[in-house]
Parts: sequence; structure tokens; C-alpha cells
Amino acid sequence: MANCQNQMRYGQQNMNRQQRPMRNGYGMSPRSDANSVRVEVTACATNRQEQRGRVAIETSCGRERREEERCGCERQESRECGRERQESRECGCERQESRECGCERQEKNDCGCHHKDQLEGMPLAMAYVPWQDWGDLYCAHKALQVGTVFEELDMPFLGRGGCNR
Amino acid sequence: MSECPNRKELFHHINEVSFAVDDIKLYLDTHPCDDEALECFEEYSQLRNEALKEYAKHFGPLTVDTAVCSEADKWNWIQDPWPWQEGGC
Repeated sequence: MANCQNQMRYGQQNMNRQQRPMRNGYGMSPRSDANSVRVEVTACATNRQEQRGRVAIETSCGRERREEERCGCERQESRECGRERQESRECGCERQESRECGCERQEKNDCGCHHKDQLEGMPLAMAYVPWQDWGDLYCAHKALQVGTVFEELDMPFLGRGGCNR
Repeated sequence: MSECPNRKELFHHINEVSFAVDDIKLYLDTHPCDDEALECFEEYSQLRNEALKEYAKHFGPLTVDTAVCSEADKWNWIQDPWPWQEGGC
């Protein structure tokens, strides 16, 4: 299967290659002739179509990728594009189904959701705590009840994300 | 002679202002030059000291700082019941 993917990636034409089942059980449909459109189902559930000797890959999300671009994922057929992608450069954001599949990712850590990192440029692997300024205070009676004299620090644990009361 | 305050209510008031003093103290530990915080600390600290003296005057000292504030003529620091003991607060 790996050899087959390598050949797809580097543009080698396998028009005369004898069709045979892949080791993992995924089958490949037999070709009829050199001018017909051959559809192959790879392990990542993308459909490949040969057009004019150049392989265009139609992903399960409907986007067309170039042959030289890596599929880069181990998608399960039942999943939407981009859901369980196993990549080393996961951006960590929660992609929605309407978003791009990310197959044409331009740069490292760019998933296309335009998430701005507030700590961009800060040293890695450090924990940061925002600086507190003097704000409004509770009266002494209420402060003892809620556990803080500072209104901004009154953040009860609700078990669903937390919020300022 | 001043009216004797309610012991339980005065003790609760001491707890409230003492908590405020502690919380503002923590803020001042990281903001030692904050004028607003310093002013607020002085206010609550004064309230706390007055409440402690008032309590010591009527019910015996709660801290060694108010041990001589009691109207008794003897060392009643060890005599009177502690707040958590029977007869205490």
C-alpha cells in the first residue's frame, strides 16, 4: 500500500499495472481502458480519478487535492474530513464541519480558523497568569460568604467551563 | 458604660473583617506600592483592631495583643473559655 501511495505521489503512471488487492483488504476497481476515468478507493477513503495522465484526488470532503500533496491523515470512512486527522502539527482548535479540511495547509500550525494566540511570542512550556489590577471589592460580609473580597476573582466552579459570577 | 454587644455577632464580625484583611494582604504581597490597596488595608485593619478590643473588653481577649484590654484585674488569658469551648462564643 505504501508503494502504491508513493507512486501516486510522484506521478508515476500505473496504467498498465495489474490491479491487485491491497494487503489491508481495500480493493481497487479494475481498469477498462487507458482513456476511461479510473476511480480508486484508498485507505483514507479518498477517491482518485485519473484525468489526462494526471491524478486528481477527490477527498471525502469534496475538495480536490493535487497528487503531490500528502493525504496526511488516517481518516475513517465514517468521519467527516478533518475530524480524526493524526498529524504532528495539530493546531488544537475545534474544527467545525463547515471548515476547510486543511489538506491545502500552507504553513505549520495554520489550520485556517484564524485563531489568535494571545501569548504569541512568549517562551514555550511556561504557565502564565494574567496580572491582577485593583478592582471592585465586596463588603466584608459577602466576601466571607463567596471566598474572596475581589469581585473579579469570584469565579465559582460550575463544572461546565467556569465563569465570573 | 457601653452596651454589651452580642458575643456571637461580634465574633462573626471579627471573622469577616479579618478575612478581608487577609485577602487584601495577599494582594499587597504582589502589589506593594498600590495606594488604593494600602488605604483599604488600613481601613479594614482598623475595623479589626477595634472589634478585637471590643470583644476583649466584654468577653476576654482573642489574641495576645488584646490580653490587657480586658477590664479584669488579673491575667484572664488562660482563665476564660476559648471560643470553641463551652461558654465560649
